[in-house]
Amino acid sequence: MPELRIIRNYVGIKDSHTIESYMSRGGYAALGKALKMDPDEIIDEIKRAGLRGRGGAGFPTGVKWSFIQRDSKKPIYLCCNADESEPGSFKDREILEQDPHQMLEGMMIACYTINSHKAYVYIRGEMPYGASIIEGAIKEAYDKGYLGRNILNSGFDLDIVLFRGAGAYICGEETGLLESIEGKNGEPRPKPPFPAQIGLFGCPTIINNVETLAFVPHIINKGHQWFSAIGLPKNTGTKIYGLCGDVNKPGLYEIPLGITARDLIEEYGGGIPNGRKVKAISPGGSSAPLLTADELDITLDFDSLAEAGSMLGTAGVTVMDDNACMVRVAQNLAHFYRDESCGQCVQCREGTWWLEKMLTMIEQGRGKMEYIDTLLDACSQMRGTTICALADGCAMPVESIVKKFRHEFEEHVRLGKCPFENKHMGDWS
Amino acid sequence: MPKLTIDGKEIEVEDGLNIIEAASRIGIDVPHFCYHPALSVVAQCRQCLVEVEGVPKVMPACNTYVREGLIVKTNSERAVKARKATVEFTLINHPLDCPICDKGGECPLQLTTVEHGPGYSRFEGPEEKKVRKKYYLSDKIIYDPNRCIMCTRCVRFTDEVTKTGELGYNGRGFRKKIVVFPGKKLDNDLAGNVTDLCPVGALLNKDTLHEERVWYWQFTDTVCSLCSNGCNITVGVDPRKGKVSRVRPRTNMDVNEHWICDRGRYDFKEIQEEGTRLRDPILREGEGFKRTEWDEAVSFVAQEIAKAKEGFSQSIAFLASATLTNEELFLLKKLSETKTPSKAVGNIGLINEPKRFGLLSTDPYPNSSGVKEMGFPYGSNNVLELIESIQQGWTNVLYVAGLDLFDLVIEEDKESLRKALSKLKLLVVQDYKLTETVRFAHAILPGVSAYEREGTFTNDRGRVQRVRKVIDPPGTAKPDWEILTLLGQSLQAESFNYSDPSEIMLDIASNIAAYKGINYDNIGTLGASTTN
Repeated sequence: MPELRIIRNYVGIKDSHTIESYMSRGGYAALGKALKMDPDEIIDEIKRAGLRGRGGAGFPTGVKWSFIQRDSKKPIYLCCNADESEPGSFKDREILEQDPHQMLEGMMIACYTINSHKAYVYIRGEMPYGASIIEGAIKEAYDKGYLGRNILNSGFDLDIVLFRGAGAYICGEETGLLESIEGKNGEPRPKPPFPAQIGLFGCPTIINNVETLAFVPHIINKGHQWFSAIGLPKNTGTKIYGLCGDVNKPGLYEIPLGITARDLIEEYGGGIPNGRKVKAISPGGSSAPLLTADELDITLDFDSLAEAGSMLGTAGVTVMDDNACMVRVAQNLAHFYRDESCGQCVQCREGTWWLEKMLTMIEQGRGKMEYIDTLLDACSQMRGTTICALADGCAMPVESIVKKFRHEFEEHVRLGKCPFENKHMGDWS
Repeated sequence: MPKLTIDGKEIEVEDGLNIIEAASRIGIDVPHFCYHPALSVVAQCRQCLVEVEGVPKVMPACNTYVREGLIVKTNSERAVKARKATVEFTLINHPLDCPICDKGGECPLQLTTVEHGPGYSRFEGPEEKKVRKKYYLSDKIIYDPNRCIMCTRCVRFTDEVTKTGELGYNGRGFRKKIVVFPGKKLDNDLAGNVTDLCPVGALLNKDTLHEERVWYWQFTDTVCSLCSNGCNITVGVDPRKGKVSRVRPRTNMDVNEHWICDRGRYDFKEIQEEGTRLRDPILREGEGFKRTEWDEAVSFVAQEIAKAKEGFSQSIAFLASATLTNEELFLLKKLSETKTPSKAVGNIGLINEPKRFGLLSTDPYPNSSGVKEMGFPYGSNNVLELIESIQQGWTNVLYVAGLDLFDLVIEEDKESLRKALSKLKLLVVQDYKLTETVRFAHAILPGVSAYEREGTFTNDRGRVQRVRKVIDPPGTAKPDWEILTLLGQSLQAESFNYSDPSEIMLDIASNIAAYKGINYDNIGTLGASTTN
């Protein structure tokens, strides 16, 4: 399947992040067009385009926007979630650093649609360069009159504020992000209430991913028919796949939704180095259950992956070759989630800790056979029992690894050591 | 009023209740640690997971609110399994040191583990458990981060109830621990409540650390006698020691809600140990004192009071304390009326500023209202009038019940008080401890302390509440109502025919309008309001 660049079209070009570059290719036309549209019309356009959230859950963006009561007496907020910190995911960073104005324009259109006059870009603390670019871009937009009072003489006011995170994966969870902006510990809130009712500072709030927002001006410009014709039905448009791990050509590829994992690895990734074979891939960032070499013909879209018991997530595809120790992979994953758990829910705080302990003991050859079933049982009790999905994000891949590569776990226990030599741990470290 | 079904039982409850509260109405106990009715809902202990029909995940009962047609299953296989798993997760890093933990025996985690837990742990390698140092949050409260299950009740308490915000937590995930903000101290007047809120042994009282075991205690529901608010408390006594071991708040939404102040909580040690207790009746003999029997002491005092009848109009004065119960005050007033004319005055405390945290009153006495309502002319400077009256020779017999007069005058007046008391023909002091006033007495009648009383107090909002005896008085000391009854019987037998304070209350109810209809049955454990 050929690459189709919509939002990656100008990356890598000199000064592509400036407003001059953006405007020279028709930037901010969509904003002018949107400001003349009725908000319901915009929501309808987005809904019919079939745009689904690119942050991981794939929730229809138009439907999300329609949850906002636009005549609310409280202020309404929009937050752009630029806290990209999932291991194996690096798609938003490129947009932020190289072509940020499409995201800002998307935010402006979204704010106009939901009647919000203040929006936040919550950027990951570890992206100081991206933050400086966004800061510059916001300033440029103010200077050109796309932000501030009475934008393009429409009577619409909007301020966008850049907010830098302090280094926590959990602040990418939408309510954790809100808490962080409020100056509190980044800890997800129990839901309901959902942010569309009670969000930032107790006001109605929409949180969208960087990539999602970047698509919005293109859809407004070219219409929903154009967008919905790309990709698969119900999985429309293109998706930026981040390919990493044991491939010859890791990188970002914007491809219409519907490419198979095998094609992505072979066509774009240039196969596996040193003539090795694929053992497993993680199709959507570290939280997605893994696929084995036999499952590479599954298409990488929201619904097909869900059907296969995994998820598209952030579409950060990590490839592990046949020299990877899957126990070590699982242990490394559990280590990450243990470290990033906010510590509110017991299942997550203690569960991730316990999983890591068990996996470490198996990896070091100190494990027992019964740990394998204990791992599965602990994972099943961590799924769906907590405030947010971080515990699920740990339990799902670990559970899939234990189920699909059980023989490796048994071998570790039997041998009393790790059977892999020169092993590595995938791309997560 | 939505109707819902919990475990097959249909109930109708008011809107806004969560499933924990709704279930408790029909006697179903959903275990929980982080939820508390007075604090915001955070849903983070995940112990209250239940199954809600139509919802794919198990839901925390604390954050699921009643609505019409809701069907909740607290005992379905999935819910039971989820709660069992939660216990196992909670215990992974919780030390199993119950045998040396002060909370053992009354620990919600321990009880929940027994009732809902798996009974074993699949976690192996206890040497791998995280271990962190204990530290003090204040000079009264010690924190053990290893036992802490991060329910954050204590943090929310200082944020939401006292609004002093001393506590927070730092660290993320497994590193998380409760800390006092830099430069702050957990020293607000209600701080001790966090030790009750703590559902594990992470926050403990230093004053009884490793000294007590809860299963030895006998509990009595009573009221605190350290100020006019009348907080409801439960007192735990270790009968082997015969001493109060712990004072805890008892929920009464009309008085103290769920809390008590630190004075009420911690001062029992001092109260029990302060001063020298008076154990037996004592009469003056020449320049010294002699221990005597009750019969002798009572008949001596009764004779002296009767003799005072012959004197001047104001020759005998009765001085009542606001630490006496309504029953005792009523009897004292009645006693003063057996001789007319006589003078009876009460000493009360004043509420001259708003109560701190809605609990701590500036009136240090539990029963100032009772003094007023039992008909004592009251004031807070009546000791000076009394000194004057003694010095003028108008008063030569004084009966003091439950007061140290030297507590009530400033330093400069103490000398004239001493002179006045020495001038008295007869000074009778009824008190439980040796005070300076007692040293001037001709007759000392040993009464009882706050924990040995039986009767009622009326708090500053007109609520009549029962104070209960929790420990035995030392020696032959008698409850004050009994002393007054004995005296009364010697003077006027027919009108002092009481064998129990409840009978005195019946008399109060028929004599004093505000107490009409009040009796021990309708006072119950939560009190009854006087009519104004």
